Amino acid sequence: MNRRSFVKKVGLTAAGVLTLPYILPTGRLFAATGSRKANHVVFCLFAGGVRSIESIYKNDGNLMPNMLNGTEPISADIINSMSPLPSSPLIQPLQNSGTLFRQFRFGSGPTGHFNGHTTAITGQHTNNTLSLREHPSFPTVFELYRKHSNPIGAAKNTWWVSNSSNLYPILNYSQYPGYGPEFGANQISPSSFFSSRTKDVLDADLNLNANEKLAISDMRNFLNYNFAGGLDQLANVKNTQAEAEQIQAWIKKMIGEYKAGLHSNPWGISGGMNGDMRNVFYAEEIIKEFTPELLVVNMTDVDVAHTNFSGYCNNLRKADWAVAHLWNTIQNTPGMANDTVLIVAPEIGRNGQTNSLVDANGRFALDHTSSDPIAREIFCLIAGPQGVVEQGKVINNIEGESIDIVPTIADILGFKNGASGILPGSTLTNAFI
Amino acid sequence: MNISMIKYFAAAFLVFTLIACKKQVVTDYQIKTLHLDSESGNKVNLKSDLQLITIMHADVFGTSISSEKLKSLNQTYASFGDKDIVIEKITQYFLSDAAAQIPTDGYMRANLDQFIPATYIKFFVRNPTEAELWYFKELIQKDGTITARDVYYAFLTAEEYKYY
Repeated sequence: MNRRSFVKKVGLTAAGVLTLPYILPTGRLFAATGSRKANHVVFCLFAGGVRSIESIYKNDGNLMPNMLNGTEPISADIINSMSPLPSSPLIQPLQNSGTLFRQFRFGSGPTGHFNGHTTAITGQHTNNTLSLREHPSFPTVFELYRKHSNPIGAAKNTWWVSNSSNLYPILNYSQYPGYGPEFGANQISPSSFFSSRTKDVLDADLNLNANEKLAISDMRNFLNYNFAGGLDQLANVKNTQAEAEQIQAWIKKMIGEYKAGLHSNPWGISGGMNGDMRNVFYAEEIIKEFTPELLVVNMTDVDVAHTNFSGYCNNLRKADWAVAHLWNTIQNTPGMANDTVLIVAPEIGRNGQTNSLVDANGRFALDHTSSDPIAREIFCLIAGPQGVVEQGKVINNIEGESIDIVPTIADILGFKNGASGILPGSTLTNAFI
Repeated sequence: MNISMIKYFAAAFLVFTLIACKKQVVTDYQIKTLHLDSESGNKVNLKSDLQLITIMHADVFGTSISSEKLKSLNQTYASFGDKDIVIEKITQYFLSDAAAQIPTDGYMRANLDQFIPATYIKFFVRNPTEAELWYFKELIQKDGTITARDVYYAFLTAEEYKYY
């Protein structure tokens, strides 16, 4: 064996030794940065400021029978304001599939919706300086997941489904150095995206043939290659070409269904679906199409509580039913069934003290102000596969707060090591086996 | 007037004449100067959502956008995070409109030396470099299936179009 041959063989052997451990039976090229508890997390921000007095303590009956055990009747004075809902999509209330933290807390910062969302999505407390016009100052859970997963998490695997195209979309990535749009989530505000106003735009199709697509792609690549301008300032979240084509095809399918009227009331809700239900419906469509590893979806319709207490209770019931439908869809989606942890928590609570507005049933409305400690009392429900999440467990003492959700997600998806030093919260270990 | 006074006036006249006869270059026409160079590197500012949509409409249709259409497009744009995907949708929406001002393919192929620079100026507000001109001429001449609409599509969805 001559020297050149010897060196070549040693090199190939070394490369093989270094590479083999990273080619896993699952087909992943690299191992994740840490071990995973499950391969998917869905986080539901529920549902625009919910007071524990109505949710956990059932002061007006069990308004969340799809999530919480109990048959407490709804108060007689508001019962006629409650819309009929279909029977539960679940065999048993969701809390039996997981762990319920009854005394969760929104520990610090103004009790505003945007503050609550920002804390939930970044795992950081906020204060009165929080800007409503700028991306968050600290990395979002989407960026932490994508950057610290190995291989880097694909944008297609990461979705932020916001029920408003105002303010909340900017929570898909931060301004934090080293993070940003490169690691951001695919954000969508579906009720606004798939709408009568946008349908003609989304339905437009030049019906380009394969040759034309290739030629356009070649020309665009050439133009992009020659552009020496602002490319260091990434304009937005980007999907790969293949991912973008899948998303385009999904959009085309969705808008086709929308125009055919298939999205008007797909759940068959008497009186129609509200905005929260529609947002969860589209989140489910994303789940079925992309089986994302991380999806965050919010609901906000209970915020009607500012002026209408009975409407708040009614929308709480609808949000509860939507979460059950969501869990049912997850459990019927190949790739996500029995491999998904669902986390449900309100972003903030509501005041103990009512305001002066009275609804048709004579009930006073509820605001949420930072000075009222009741507005910091919320709950958290973590549901997941047996053997991963404690089933039917209830934690009655004060335990856990909003900033703990992001580290918990990091722990579930195996990227907590990469995020260490950034997150002030802790994993909600009592929910897991 | 004595001799020294005459000399003084003569010298002053000479100096005045030399200064007065210096050619004056008029550079100010009270018109905003538009520099068309071949450099893309000086575009570092991202167009805002509204800027991009309104400029794109003006470039494709030659008219300003109606407020109703702007609302529709802005809502589409604001509701989805990957703006490249949305821009593709808007581009298809614009270019599939019969009112879009796109040269015929016959004109494009017969006038490549005019079409290519005009396209660069229309969308990128600059002239093409020699290499860019050569690339597009070669490509369009060799591939008989490329349409003017395809070329417009590539320009409207290119990174450089998002910046000014």
